[in-house]
Amino acid sequence: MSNGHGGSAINNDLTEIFLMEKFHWLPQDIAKIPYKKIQKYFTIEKWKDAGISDKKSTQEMIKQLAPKNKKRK
Amino acid sequence: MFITDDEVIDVIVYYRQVGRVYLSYKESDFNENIKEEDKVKYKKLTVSMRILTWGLYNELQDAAWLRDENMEKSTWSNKKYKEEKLKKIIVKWDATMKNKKGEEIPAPINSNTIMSMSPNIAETILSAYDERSIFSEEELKK
Repeated sequence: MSNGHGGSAINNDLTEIFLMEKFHWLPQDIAKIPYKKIQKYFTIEKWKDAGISDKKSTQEMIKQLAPKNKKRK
Repeated sequence: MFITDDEVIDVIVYYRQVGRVYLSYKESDFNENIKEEDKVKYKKLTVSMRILTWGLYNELQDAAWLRDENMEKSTWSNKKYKEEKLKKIIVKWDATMKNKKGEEIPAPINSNTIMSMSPNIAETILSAYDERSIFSEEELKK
């Protein structure tokens, strides 16, 4: 989904519910968090879900997942 | 972690008029691409802007929807998004304008002055602001 500035949009309702459940914040507290921090937090969470713990293993995983271009003989 | 209303970020833009058009650069692009001898031709504009919080982000997204006769969201407008963003985030600037006597006076921050900005300068301000406020997909991959 486009959010007007080229980045990935975050699902608003799910984000707030997640943060409320995990940190017991109120919606009015969540509204004051810098957008960039939320973006970063959810990217790290996504990595964790994928079993990726650091940058090196992320790059390794990308390499493994990338389709291999076999050279034609 | 939580941002108060009085916290701002400053964005610097350099611009100059060439004919009827304004050329404008973000500070980083200006320092990187403009030759030292040409830098004097540019004026500097410093704009203080509200920090993009989760609340402000959603407010801007919501304001960018065009609504039908039942006030239901119908189309998301990039133009409206940018206009609303400029109107809602700029809190201070050192822009000037000429009065009827031709004297330079500080330009007030209001809908009229914001909407009469050169499109190039407005786009540069937004781009510099986004660079500070939002991770691009490339940055998130790093």
